[in-house]
Amino acid sequence: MKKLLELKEVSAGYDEDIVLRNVNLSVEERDFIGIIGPNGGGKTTLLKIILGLLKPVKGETRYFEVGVDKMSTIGYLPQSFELDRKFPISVQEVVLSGLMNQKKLYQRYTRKEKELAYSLLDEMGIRNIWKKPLGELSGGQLQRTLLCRAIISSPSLLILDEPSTYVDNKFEGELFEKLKYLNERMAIIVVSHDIGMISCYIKTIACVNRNFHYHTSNIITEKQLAAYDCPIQMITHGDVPHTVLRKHQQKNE
Amino acid sequence: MNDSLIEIFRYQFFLKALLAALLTSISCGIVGTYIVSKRIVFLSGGITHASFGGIGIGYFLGINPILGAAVFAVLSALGIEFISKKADIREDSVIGIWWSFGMALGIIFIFITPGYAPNLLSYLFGSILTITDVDIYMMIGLNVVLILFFSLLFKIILFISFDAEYASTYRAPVQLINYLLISLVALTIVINIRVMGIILIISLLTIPQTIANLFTKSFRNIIYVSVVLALTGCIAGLFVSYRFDIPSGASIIFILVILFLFARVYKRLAQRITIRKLS
Ligand SMILES: Nc1ncnc2c1ncn2[C@@H]1O[C@H](COP(=O)(O)OP(=O)(O)OP(=O)(O)O)[C@@H](O)[C@H]1O
Ligand SMILES: [Mg+2]
Repeated sequence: MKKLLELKEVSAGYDEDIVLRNVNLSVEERDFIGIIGPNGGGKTTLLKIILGLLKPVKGETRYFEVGVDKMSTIGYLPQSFELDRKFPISVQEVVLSGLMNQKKLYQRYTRKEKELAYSLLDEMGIRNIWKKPLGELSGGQLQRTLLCRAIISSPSLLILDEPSTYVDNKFEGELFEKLKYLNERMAIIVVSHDIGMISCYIKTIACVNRNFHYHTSNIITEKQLAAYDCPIQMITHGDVPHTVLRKHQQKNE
Repeated sequence: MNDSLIEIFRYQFFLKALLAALLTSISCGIVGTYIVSKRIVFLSGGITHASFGGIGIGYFLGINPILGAAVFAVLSALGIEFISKKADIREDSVIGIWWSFGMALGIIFIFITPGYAPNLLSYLFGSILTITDVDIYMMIGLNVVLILFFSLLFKIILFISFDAEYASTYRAPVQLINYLLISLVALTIVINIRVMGIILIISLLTIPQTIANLFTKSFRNIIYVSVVLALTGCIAGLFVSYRFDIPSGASIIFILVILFLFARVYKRLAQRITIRKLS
């Protein structure tokens, strides 16, 4: 397995506020990592470190096959779209913009690339809206569009921040099936609150609650979660009643 | 003999005004589309008014006030962009401060400049009929740069303006392109001040684009439609100003606002008709 990137002793935060401590993580080819943790635990922050959008206050990030000045970039589906929905851009233009890492600044999109975009939209079940302006999409349609943008360049790492926020249950299932299929070609990191849902797709689990715990299996018990100080709500699918884990006191505070 | 000379003279200066209208419409059509799409109308207003400081300095130093304004506007645009990125200050507050400070500087410098400040009013309200050759050359240069910049870099401009964060994950030159764009906005404003004036230039950067946006949601088409609309407004405004002897800048805006109202009403009616067809 080739190593894609590595975080070494990384701490991250905003201004004086340290949000994440001592993260050690290496992402390898064909990894499928599920990230769980409570709201405000630092999941998005961790992704931003990996994406290079945020500089670590301590430690270092090293990229081997992806990222900085490597041809193959990272595909990214943001959590909340701080996007201007009224920006005059069409679905097709957004999806094609996912190829910007492979194009010279002045090159036009080729016909082949346009066909690729169209077939991706078809796969996501939103072929009929490819000409629509972004402002006229529903939340789920927008999320699917952004997912197409994230994968059109066939990145070697795909990062998704809570991809099922807006999509319906049917597509959520389809989405993870699709991710499983994509995982044959690329490593995937996905943030989700629904560990029951993702556990049969992911290979490993990372718990992020200010501290970072890496669990090298896709099965995690409530006891282990408690030990990782990761008080998330377990949503189980089936007859097992919902359980809420009590928040444990941070030991170091 | 004398009469025909006057006719030719009139004809020529009118032609020059038409040429200026065309050049202004193209540059404002392009840059206005960027401004409106990116929602930086207020920033552009700030740059426009702050550039009065540059005009004042120009008078004081005895250089072409437009040159003073250009330097001043580009520097303030870059400054505002830089500060709002780095410092923990709200961008619109910075703009408000700089907006008034620039105007204050302009007033002070004009006040302490000995003698009379010629053409002062034309910088405030514009005067398309007194455009000089130098103004025309500057406008031609601006248009060439804008057309090249926007047609060659169209994809990346759209990419960055729409989602700068995503563009940064691709290591796209987000900062550089943003600085270049904001400088072009500043230059466009300043070079067109002679036509529309500091007080009125924002109209050509917003009204045609807003009308266009009613009918098309594509960045490229908004540019094309707003160039045509701006040109229509300028030419119609020129005739109205000539016919009724009112200032050209104000009559251009008047025409544009009327066009906007018509467009709104038309949209409403079209909507009603489709609803009626459905029921
Ligand atoms: N831009 C920012 N500036 C300052 N603090 C921030 C910023 N973004 C996040 N934080 C803080 O960092 C902490 C972690 O935020 P983060 O967005 O990483 O959480 P998360 O695990 O993704 O939560 P959620 O499940 O709600 O998405 C929070 O306490 C938050 O207040
Ligand atoms: Mg988050």
